[in-house]
Amino acid sequence: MIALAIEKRLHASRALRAAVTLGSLSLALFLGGAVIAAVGVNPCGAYAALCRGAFGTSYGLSETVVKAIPLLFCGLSVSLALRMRLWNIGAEGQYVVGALAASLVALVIPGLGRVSYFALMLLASFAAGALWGGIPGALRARLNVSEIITTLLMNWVAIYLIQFFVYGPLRGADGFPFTSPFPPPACLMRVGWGRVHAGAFLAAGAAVVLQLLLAKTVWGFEVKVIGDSPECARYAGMAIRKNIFLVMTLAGGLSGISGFCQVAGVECRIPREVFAQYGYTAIVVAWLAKARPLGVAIVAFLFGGLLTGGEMIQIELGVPASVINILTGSILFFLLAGDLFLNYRIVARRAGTARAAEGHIHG
Amino acid sequence: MSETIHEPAVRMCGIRKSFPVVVANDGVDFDVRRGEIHALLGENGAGKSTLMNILAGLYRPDAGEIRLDGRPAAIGSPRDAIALGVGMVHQHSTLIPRHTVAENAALGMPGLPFLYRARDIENRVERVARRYGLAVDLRAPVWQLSVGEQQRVEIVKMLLRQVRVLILDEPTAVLAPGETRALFETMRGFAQKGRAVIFISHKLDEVMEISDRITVLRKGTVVAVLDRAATHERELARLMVGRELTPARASRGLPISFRGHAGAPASAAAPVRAEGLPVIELTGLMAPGPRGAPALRGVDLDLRGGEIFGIAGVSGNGQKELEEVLTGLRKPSGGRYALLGKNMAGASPSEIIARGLACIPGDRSRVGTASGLDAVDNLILKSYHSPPIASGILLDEREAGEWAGELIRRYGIAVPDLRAPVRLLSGGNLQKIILARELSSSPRALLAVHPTRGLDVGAAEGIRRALLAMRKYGAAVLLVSEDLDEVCALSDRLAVMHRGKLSRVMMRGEATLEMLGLLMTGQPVPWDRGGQAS
Repeated sequence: MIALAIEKRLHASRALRAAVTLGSLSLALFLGGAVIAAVGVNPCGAYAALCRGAFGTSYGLSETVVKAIPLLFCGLSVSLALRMRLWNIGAEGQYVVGALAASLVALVIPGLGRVSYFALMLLASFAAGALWGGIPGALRARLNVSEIITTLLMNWVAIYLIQFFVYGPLRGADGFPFTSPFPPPACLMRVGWGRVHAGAFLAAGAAVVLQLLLAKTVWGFEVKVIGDSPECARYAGMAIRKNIFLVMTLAGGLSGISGFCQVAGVECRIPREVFAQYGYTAIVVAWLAKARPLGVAIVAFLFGGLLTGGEMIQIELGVPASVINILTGSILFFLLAGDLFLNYRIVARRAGTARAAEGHIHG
Repeated sequence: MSETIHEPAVRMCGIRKSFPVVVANDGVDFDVRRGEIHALLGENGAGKSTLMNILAGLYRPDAGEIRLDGRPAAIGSPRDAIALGVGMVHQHSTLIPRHTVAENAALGMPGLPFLYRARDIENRVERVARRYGLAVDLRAPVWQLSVGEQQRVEIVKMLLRQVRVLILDEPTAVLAPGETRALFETMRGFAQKGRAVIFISHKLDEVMEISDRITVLRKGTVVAVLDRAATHERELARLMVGRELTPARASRGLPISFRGHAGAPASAAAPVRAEGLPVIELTGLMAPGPRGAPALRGVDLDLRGGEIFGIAGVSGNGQKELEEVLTGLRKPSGGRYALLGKNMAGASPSEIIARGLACIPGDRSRVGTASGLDAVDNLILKSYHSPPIASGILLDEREAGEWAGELIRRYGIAVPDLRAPVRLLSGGNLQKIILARELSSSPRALLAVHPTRGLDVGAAEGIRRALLAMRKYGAAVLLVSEDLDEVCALSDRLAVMHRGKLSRVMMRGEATLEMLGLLMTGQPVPWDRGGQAS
């Protein structure tokens, strides 16, 4: 008789990690395919259309980059927190208040030059996001309140706040629930390829800077030690509370900037649909990239393609775009479940003797 | 049935177990008879714990066979092992910190109804605990207990499950002499009922006192199986380490010299000898314990450069709190704490480190090292923020690697893979990493808490020699230990910690084991011939 048992694994090899990640992704694609089939569309055709739409044309590719920009910023934000084992579920809210703060600068202060608008809006969006991340950070550092709960709740405060402004004081002249366009100097420059704007360079720069900060600086070392073993870090004289607050503030600021890039770069006003769930998708992005900034850049690009392709298959094949939400959700679900295989191994053994199956996969 | 009567309670044949970096057991044959106390002896990394973890169902052997009472046994999990009557009390706690003692004991307790009354459990646990003299507070959450108390709970838990083979992984490491005696009684009583006890230990005198037979492991293989009556401590020590040992003693000159690390800051040259000036001064030091009750109740101490002050005592009497207050992890609630004349009560850990206090923490895997990070990261843990490793805000990886490499060579740390997490290393190598790191800063004062607990004889001697070298070099060494022989051998002066207070300070030679035993259990001590108790 063969019995299956679970054994703890000390060390997971690179090949195994890759296999588990690929396996999780395929399972998620399979599940998404089942949903697509359920609405009466051939899943293979839909996936092909998705890829074509996202990466197959210059227009599609440019849209993919546009969507990758907020995902990259928010993904970096979530990743930074994850490095210290903190869960920033609030990238969405930080993104929204960043968008709001930048818009307020653009709409309330008239007649500035390009550079002044850029600097002020960047600063305002960073500060607003930093506040939204810093409050949960301070609560966690001082009172040990779970940042998962507080960041999640802060999202709703942010969303209702921006709705108040968009439906109230900032409502545009034409009466629809979005703001008037910003003065032209307050808009981010386009690079001359579809809707791709200067935020792409900001985001790529942020990824490089964050990578260097984490990998090459004394502060990055502290973040690594605190993330691995807070007790040891405290004993070694590292300031844990200060760093929790700092990391959450910085993470919030990064998401905040993405709000600025979005409103100033894409429509140059707050559109009705400012919250496109980038902040939540970013959690999947960060986890898939193992919280590595350069990995986040790659994954953000792929997820940008997923969102763009999702819109394409909605237009072309009539598949609801929410299929893409199901897909991203199930990707995270399977990835988290896949961790079981990294931390444990399943061995088959013959019952009745103490002999273990030999030649099992080793770490 | 009848033919199995003469079979041993446990027979393990040709056991092999390899881990990614090491072969822990290689063709081990091991058997334990019914009614026997069998000692398993060996250095750290010899494979004792691995072998017993296999028997207890935690690990699967790569090859080999286990028979219990002559019948082949499929032990796939600790649950299987318990069902077959094999229970193990581990060196490290396997209790759930947030649950109470009684709740922990109830986990996996046989014959428990789905809905039970807490009172019933408490009664059952209390009966067993009292019978074996293993007193614990049943309603206390486990996280509030000391390591020693937690181990008592683990033993009680196994006794409750009525196992036929009881494996104890270094049970006496955290017990006072009186408690050890009670435990030995428990073990003897258990064996007399025809059951078997496997006793893992490094303490040769205890092995000689309690065991019937002894199996010696070295580097994953069995080097000898001996009858207690036919051997002696020197032979065991030789078999275990493969060489004769010369114990470290405070009175002996030491060949080790401690110079600063080649790349260390210039101040790493020999410090001014602080002789005569107190390095660590404690006056009426008070601190709360985890339950808010006072854990330190007025500790007075002054420690000078060039001496070792030993604090003996059973853990759970304030040692942990003392460590935390001295390193800045816990705020004292009263009294004075000065380092080199400067008040440090309430100072942060980094201020205290900067003032010159190094520390070998009592918990080496959780506090002493970041277990998921590699050896290099752990070796630079206290020097990463100053040159040459740090230059401005940048961390120089090459300098870090050189710094770590130098320490690894100098202290002979066996690190198979510099980039592998240190949790894969043995206890002895982990402690060497901590020691190397702490001494690399040329500290003025060194706090060493249970520095040799759980280490093999060879590694323990290395640590003791390092402490003596620090003393010779002019540092003040505060040694907190449960190992009385160690405290007596190394300390210039010593005291016993009991219930948050220090006993009268004794000079080396003045303290006898009997006296220490009395102080550790809170009995009055006749200090003078007159019999006047202090």
